[in-house]
Amino acid sequence: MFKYTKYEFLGTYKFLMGAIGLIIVASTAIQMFFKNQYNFANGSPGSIEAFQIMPFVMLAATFTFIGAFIAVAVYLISSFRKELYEDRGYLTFALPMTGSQLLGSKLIIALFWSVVMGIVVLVYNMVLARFVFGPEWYNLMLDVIKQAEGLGKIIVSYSLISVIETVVTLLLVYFTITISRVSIKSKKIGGFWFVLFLILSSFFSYIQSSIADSVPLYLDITKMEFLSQNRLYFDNMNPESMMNLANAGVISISGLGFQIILTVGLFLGTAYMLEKKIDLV
Amino acid sequence: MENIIEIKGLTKKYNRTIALNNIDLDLKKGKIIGILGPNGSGKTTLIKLLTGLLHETKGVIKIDGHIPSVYTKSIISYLPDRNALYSWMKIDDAIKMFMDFYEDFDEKKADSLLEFMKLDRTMKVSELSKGMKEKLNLTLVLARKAKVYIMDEPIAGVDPVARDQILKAIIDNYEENSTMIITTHLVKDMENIFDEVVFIGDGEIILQGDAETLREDKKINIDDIYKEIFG
Repeated sequence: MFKYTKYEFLGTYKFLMGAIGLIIVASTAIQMFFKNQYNFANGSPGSIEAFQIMPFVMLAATFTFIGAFIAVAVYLISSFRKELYEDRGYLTFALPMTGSQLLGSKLIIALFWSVVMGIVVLVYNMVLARFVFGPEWYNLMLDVIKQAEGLGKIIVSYSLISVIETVVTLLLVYFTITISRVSIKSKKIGGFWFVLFLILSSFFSYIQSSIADSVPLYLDITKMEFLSQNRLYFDNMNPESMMNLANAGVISISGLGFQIILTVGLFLGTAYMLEKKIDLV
Repeated sequence: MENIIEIKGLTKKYNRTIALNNIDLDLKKGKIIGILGPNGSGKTTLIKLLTGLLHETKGVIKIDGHIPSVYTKSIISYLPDRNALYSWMKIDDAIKMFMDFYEDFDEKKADSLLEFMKLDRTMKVSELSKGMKEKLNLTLVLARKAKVYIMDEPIAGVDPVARDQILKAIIDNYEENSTMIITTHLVKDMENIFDEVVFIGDGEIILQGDAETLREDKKINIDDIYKEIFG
């Protein structure tokens, strides 16, 4: 599998490094713009008024972040579609590898770039803000974060959940593109996959929340203990707990179980279709 | 002589259109076989079924005793009728990719073929002309010591000089124990290299046989037989 992963990486890195470069430039421009606005309106930086501008900086950074992820997602999705609709498929599908190896490679590289993009945007913006807006807000933010209970576990659990969510979403995209290609040969109505994606995405979300509701068993990752629904409700009503991000490290065990089964099912289904059903007409 | 390819009752339909209709075909090891027929006759469909790019509607294909699979893809060296190399690649990347995926790939042979074709490893695939891309693809295909070579229209759409170069490369680099299957409708240019020919029209095999025997029996060359059948 890693043979193809290497070429998938080589084929994508120029665009994605360029995208990361653009995000860095955009982030810098946003922060410099807000710094100039602040200086002009309020006087010296570093005073308490500096915090008033931070929500706007955060908002702008969030839009950059979302924009970058959409660009990367569109690029990676179109790279998968090209295998099924364009001439390059004649090379890819003639290579001696299984559908699982092809899909696994695509998935690994897409996930890799999503993670790299996320980390670069986050770390760069934080470091840049530290220099642009001075250390005060930064230190205060660190103090607030440090007070959160089980911060390390919360970060790990959120990261894991984000990775699982990304994998499920990517697999659902690949699944719907592949099933569209198998059932509708024409490229002209190849956009059908997106409609199917929205329908299946909503359907699976509904199933997941139904399962989570009917089997209300939760795991608090910060304490590594199981919670019932009653206990979860009680904790949410406790002001102290809310301050301590009571729900941050809590996951639904049945919901997570469904997601894992869905991930395996989508992977196997897509890999099977890639290997046995795709006709390059 | 042992069969390398055995096809029984093969049918391929595209929706309601029948591209191949219940064909039976056995191809022997160590031969150069021409699959001849006009555009739309089913040649490329047959090739794609052998290479695993299409899946049969009905029937059985066996290549070296195996149905089309990862194994058969590893023993087939396939030249498609279009450039399929990724546009971001340099020639060097393409060679490395073939080395990674095919154990039978001979890098030295690839270098000598590149020299013969006047191509350089540093060239970008996206900047090559159609003829150069055809030569590069042929280089990659012939640099393997594969059991089966399958070439789909290798000389279509290239200038006469490139055509001669391609034909010379095919003849000079053919592995004696391998089987080479070549589809073409440019029969005159290629007929001298075929040991056997298979004429396909409207998804059916119209005539099959040893090229020399057919010439002797009909007292005309293969190109004229082609014109007689499809003219």
